Amino acid sequence: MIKDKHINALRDIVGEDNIYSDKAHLIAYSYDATRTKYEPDAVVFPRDEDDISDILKYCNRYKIIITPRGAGSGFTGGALPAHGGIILAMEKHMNKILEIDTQNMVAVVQPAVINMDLQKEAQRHGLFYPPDPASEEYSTLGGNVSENAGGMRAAKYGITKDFVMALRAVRTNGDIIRAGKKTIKDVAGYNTAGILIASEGTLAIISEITLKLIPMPKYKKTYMGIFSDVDSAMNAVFKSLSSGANPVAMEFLDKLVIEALIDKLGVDLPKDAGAVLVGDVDGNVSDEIDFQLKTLEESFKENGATEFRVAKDDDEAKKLWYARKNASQSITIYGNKKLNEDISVPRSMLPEALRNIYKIGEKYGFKVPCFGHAGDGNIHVNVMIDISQLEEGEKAIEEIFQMVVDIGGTLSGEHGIGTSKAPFMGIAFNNEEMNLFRDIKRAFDPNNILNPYKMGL
Amino acid sequence: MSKELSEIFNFSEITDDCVKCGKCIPVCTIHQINPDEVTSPRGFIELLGQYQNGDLELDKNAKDIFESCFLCTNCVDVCPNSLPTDMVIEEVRADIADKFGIATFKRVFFWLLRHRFAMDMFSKMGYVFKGCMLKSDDKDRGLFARFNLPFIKKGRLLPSMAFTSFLNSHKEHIPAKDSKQKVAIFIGCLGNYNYTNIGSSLLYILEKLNVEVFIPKKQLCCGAPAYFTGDMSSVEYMTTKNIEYFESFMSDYDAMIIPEATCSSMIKHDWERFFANHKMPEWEERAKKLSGKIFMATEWLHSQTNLQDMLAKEGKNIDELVTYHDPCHARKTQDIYTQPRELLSQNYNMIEMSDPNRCCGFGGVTMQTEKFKFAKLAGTPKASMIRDTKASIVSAECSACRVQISESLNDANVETIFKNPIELIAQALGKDEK
Repeated sequence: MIKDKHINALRDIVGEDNIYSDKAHLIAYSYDATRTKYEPDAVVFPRDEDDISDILKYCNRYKIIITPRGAGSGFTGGALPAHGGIILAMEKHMNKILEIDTQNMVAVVQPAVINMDLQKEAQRHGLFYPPDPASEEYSTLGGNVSENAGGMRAAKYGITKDFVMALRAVRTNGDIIRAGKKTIKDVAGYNTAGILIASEGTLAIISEITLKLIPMPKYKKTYMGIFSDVDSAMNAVFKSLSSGANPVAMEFLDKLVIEALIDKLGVDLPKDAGAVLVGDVDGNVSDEIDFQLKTLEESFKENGATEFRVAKDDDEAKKLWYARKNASQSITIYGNKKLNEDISVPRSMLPEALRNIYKIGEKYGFKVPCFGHAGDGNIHVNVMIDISQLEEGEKAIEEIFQMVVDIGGTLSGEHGIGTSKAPFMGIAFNNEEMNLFRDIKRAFDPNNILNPYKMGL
Repeated sequence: MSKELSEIFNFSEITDDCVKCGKCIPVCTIHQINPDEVTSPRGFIELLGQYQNGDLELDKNAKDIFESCFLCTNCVDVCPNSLPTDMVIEEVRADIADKFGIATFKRVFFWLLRHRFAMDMFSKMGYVFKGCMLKSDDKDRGLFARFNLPFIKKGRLLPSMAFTSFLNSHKEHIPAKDSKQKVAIFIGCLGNYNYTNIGSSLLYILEKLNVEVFIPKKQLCCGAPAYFTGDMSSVEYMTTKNIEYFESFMSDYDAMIIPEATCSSMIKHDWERFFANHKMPEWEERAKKLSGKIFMATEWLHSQTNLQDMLAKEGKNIDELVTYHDPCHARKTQDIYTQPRELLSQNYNMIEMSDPNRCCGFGGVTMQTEKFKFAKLAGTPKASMIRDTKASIVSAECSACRVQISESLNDANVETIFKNPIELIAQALGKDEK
């Protein structure tokens, strides 16, 4: 518990209405989408960058732990005050889009701007912000940058880090730093922004973000291919990409997911389908769309696709996407508790990864439906258990992580490490690498007050 | 109330169903104006769970938090598990009422709603003496407070009182020549005492359609204002009295039509839910039986009559630009939003505001009085999106929205006036504006 005198001192910085330590606030800021709960000692709402600087300076002097928080929608506990201290809640004041610069095609935003709000604002200017994590409707850009969020459009456009041009951030000593510029080329100095991205609030507090925008493509079409097994679907993915198709998304569903979608939601898919690929193609001329769809159709059929569908209009597109968007919800028929991980492997290893995952599932007697991003090798693995089998389930997860790392993949493609995956960092990184992480952490935060002990540090 | 709330409603069960995804937060009306997790659906649900477990005391702070919800149901709409946040808030407000009592002015108000005769008298006195405290608006939108009243600041626009209520202005039975259809009208309190032109407009339309009408004179308030404030004994009184009364005539009528979103949503959905939550299965069954014949007025007119064809014959005969606002209790709870638009677009030029589905910010009796600062903040963006349409009329089939939107427009100096779609339709069919 932090002392009253500290709360009073912080109140002097942010004002009466921007700090709370009543029970209701401690409860409301105790959780995130992991559903784990740790109550903080106080919740502080900084009004601006200067407030953040003053708060950090003060907390650094008295070694008060700080956990920054955007929407609290993370899946790995990045925003959980796991060791008490204060929550630095950005949602109240730091939520403005500061600039849409149409000449340099960049947006400047405060960290608590919601991803979709930026997408909409960019669209008003004919521009496009592609990163689209599943939480795009409610997660914040500060959180997206801190976790390096991905999304379905990653196959063509890349992930959050590919769009961060510059950051402003506050160090624990109160220094306000600028990292990166609006320029496309920038080789002067260390790539500090690169280190802050995906640092999960452990190094500095991000106070402003400059993001790259691109022109909004004029045309978009949705396609779906149905296959008898995952191998032929993946061969179709390899073939289409090497033939010049550049789809916005290439999402796959495995056999278990397809069965669940048919059983639970009555989705219109053949019962004997072993894999489905679904996605969009986009472009600025209609010929380009035709070329992409033709390439996909040829590559899919060559590799044994039993069906290739293209949506005629928005309604049909929604229907094709319905299966993928409801995958997560449908698989609850396999168990009342879902242990979901978002492993990432080189694209070529995806079929082997899936085979190994099913083997591990069989060994423990769990169904493990998988879906995810075939275009980029990011798989959402769902170990479906009964709540009483938690320990066994976690063993299966550990085995899956080990297998993934062995075939050249990693623990998380989008969700981050936080508290949930911290115990597995040793599988993905050796001691020397972990020591480098710790050295970097110490250089930024010598007193270990920023989101301490997250990421296995 | 015969049972303890904890027995009949298990908050922690709802809390456990919340996966904490956070999807509900950006759409939440109170969170948009007070971005703090304690005033968000996910926060409410967790806090209610902790209250149920005994970890959170229902103190003044918690009371303020639970009273800040607008009950707009945006969160229920987007929740992957469709958790009924509005319902758990309504139920905890009963605990708040038990513990803190209900403010005297609200108790008097609910008592008046229970007692039709007294409310009629109060309304007449309000009409006669309104000049003492209120002055009329030159555009006939309502009345302005002349000085600060309890919870009502000087200059605020309030609905006028009619000298004779709708129910006291018309015969109980209005037959029609060779009519094939027979309906009963539930008018709603604001339509009965304040915006009486809605009821006379509805009668005008039904007459044109040759529909036989019954105006049940003993109808009481639907109970919504008391339900949203946690006065459960008033809810029980009004719902059961109304059900007994309705059962006495509804077998003779095809439908009960209601030109008000909130009353109709309350009667059609919330009565049943209220009885279910309060373990009154016999009444639940009776409410359920009635609900099949309950319709919003535009919904029934659109699907059961040839009104649309009749309007189409008139053509675009009124040179006004109309924008339609979706009442939470029409679009979100009853999925009614195409019907009024299709009817209005026959005779009026229509324009959509940027977010017609955004809650106007009425929020109920407590929000309109003790917590009016929140209502005011929520009303500002609605007023500005209406201004941006340049429409001369904003329409919504809800008089609660009318109270709030008229005040928000007045506050923002926007000239657009508010009309119920029923009034606009009657006008297109030739009814005098007054």
